[in-house]
Amino acid sequence: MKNIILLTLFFIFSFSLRAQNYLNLYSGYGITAPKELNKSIEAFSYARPWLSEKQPLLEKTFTLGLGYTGILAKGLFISPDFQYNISKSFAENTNFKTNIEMHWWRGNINLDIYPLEFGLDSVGFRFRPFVRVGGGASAILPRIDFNDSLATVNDEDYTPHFWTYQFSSGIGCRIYLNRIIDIMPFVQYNYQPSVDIEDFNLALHGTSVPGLGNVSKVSNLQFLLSVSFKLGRSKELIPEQKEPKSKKKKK
Amino acid sequence: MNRRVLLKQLMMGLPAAAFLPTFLSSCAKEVLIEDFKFTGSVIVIGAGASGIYASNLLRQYGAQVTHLEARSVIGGRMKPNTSIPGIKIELGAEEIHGKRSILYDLAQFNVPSSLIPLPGDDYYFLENQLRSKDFLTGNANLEGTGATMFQILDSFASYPGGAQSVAQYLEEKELDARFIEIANALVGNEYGADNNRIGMLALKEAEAGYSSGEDGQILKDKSLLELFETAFAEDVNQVELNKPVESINYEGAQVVVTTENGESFTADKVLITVPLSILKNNSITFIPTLPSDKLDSIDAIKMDNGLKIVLQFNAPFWVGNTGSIIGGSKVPEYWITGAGKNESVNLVTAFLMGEKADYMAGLSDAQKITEILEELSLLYPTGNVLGKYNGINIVQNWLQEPYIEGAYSYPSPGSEGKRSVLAAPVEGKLYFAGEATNFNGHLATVHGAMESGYRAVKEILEA
Repeated sequence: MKNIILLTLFFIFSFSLRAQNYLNLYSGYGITAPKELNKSIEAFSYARPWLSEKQPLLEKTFTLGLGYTGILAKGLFISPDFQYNISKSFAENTNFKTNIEMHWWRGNINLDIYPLEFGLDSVGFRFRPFVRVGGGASAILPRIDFNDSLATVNDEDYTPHFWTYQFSSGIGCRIYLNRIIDIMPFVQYNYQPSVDIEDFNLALHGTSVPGLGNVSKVSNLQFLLSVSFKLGRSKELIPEQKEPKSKKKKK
Repeated sequence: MNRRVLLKQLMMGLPAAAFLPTFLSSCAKEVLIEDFKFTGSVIVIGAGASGIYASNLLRQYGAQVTHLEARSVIGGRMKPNTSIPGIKIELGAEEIHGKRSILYDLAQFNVPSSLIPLPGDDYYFLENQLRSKDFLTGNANLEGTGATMFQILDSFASYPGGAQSVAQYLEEKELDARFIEIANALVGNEYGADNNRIGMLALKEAEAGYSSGEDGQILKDKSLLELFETAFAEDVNQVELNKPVESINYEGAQVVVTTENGESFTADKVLITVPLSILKNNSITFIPTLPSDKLDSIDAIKMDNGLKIVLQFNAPFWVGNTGSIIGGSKVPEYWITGAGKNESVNLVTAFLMGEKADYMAGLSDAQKITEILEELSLLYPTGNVLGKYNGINIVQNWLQEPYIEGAYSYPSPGSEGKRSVLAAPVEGKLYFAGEATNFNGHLATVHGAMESGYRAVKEILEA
């Protein structure tokens, strides 16, 4: 992970000296499918039939992100980014409240591929669709509370953090607003093939439950909206004369 | 848009489209547990913790359950006694081990105000004096031998050696002889036997799997059985009492269970939750005979006698905040029964397992009381123990308890790896639950029994 961070910083530093660089701030919602994690949560409810409100599955994520986009070659951009995601599952029953949170800190290095006609290094287009492929590492910090008290494993507070990796891909469109700001709606799919949930199971169930896997696959489809600020030198992407002309006439 | 642009846009869409089926398939709800429905019939044998809980789960998921119990009461090894006013004395299971278990959750949901931490401080019997743990671990005269003992006892999960008993291992580790009885109380007696009868490899397996925590809890004004009766009232009401099973015939497509009084019950599957001792003494005839590996595991896992003897005194002879007294040569552990519940009842419970239970069980009840009072007098020479004893006592001998015939299973030498074999289903028709079948380190506990019930029900639903 340290290497990935250093590499990201290197890219940001080196490319910020060049034209066509963006700082991207984004946020959005996602649909998540952490298979074995959800099986574990479901098993928790199943084993406690006395709970009238079942524990919801982890199905949605909220995302905040910060990224950078810089040109690598004509039509090819590098977009390292860093996301914070949270998924929650909360159920309140009489005398028994259970809150499960998964905090995901995800670092990615993405390649954004623009068709040459639409590339950021070309001019004259307001809408520039792109395809994204990437990958990186995540730190995952699960948290489980029972009646507002942190879950324990062998009397130790369950406050783990562990690392995993992911592959990402997506499609999006960069929309020119003005010389400083673009907006960029995009859809990103992340896949984590191996998330260790052994201790999560122990903290949730108090025991290792037969049939529950200790490793979970996690799929996550994000719907994100980014505001991108141009950095460094900037070409006139849209010819200036288009908008002001009509206003002058009115005056 | 010219043709070239259009083609490129299509090319862009392809990778996204390629991912879509993957994502949709991962989002699609798998056949998760809730979706399982078993609409067939199940006979549950035994109405202890695992049997009651398993019946409840089976009914939740659609099974037709017939629940048979050999005795005239439910609860198995949960046995409250209310003969002394002001307190519910647990003659069987008493402690809720740790705070991360299905039983703790059940108690927290149903009787939260009754759930209290195991009260009082532990005292250790060392060279005819009662000492605190701080003394054992910190007193300069002991030269660190007490601390060494606790370190050894805390490291069983990473035991690196081969097959031997705990007693042999402690000898190998040159445990100070002054701590032999204390170590026996903390390990052997706690696990349901004594250090000579506990195997290190099986103990390692149990300790490594244990995950519920050490913070013991008890119920202040309820019994564990009441908790089950409250939480699973409908299931408890449907238990058919006085139906001791004589044979289980699983030759045909359906299983036929016959009771000692000649009644026959037929079902698709049978869940057997009887104590290990009942399987060991062949009280139930299986037709055909159980597989040889199952029989081996039944033989390898041991279950000894256990005694709880409760004595009442007119006034306390112990110091104020006493919880347990550990390391007696006759009784490995005493505890103040009313601590945290009702201090005014002045009750002391003597808890003996293994060889010491065998010895004590051979005495008359009067002799048992005499021996206990002698030891307590030795522990409290100025406490006037004999003078304060009011003559009221309750003796619970689990070996003599009909259809239970023992305390609980323990990690006997050679039993490592055998519990999962004991738990395994036979021919998709016989399923096994109960504390002895718990292979997650929670053997000999109520929550371990419940976990095994859950596991067996899951096996039935998924079959």
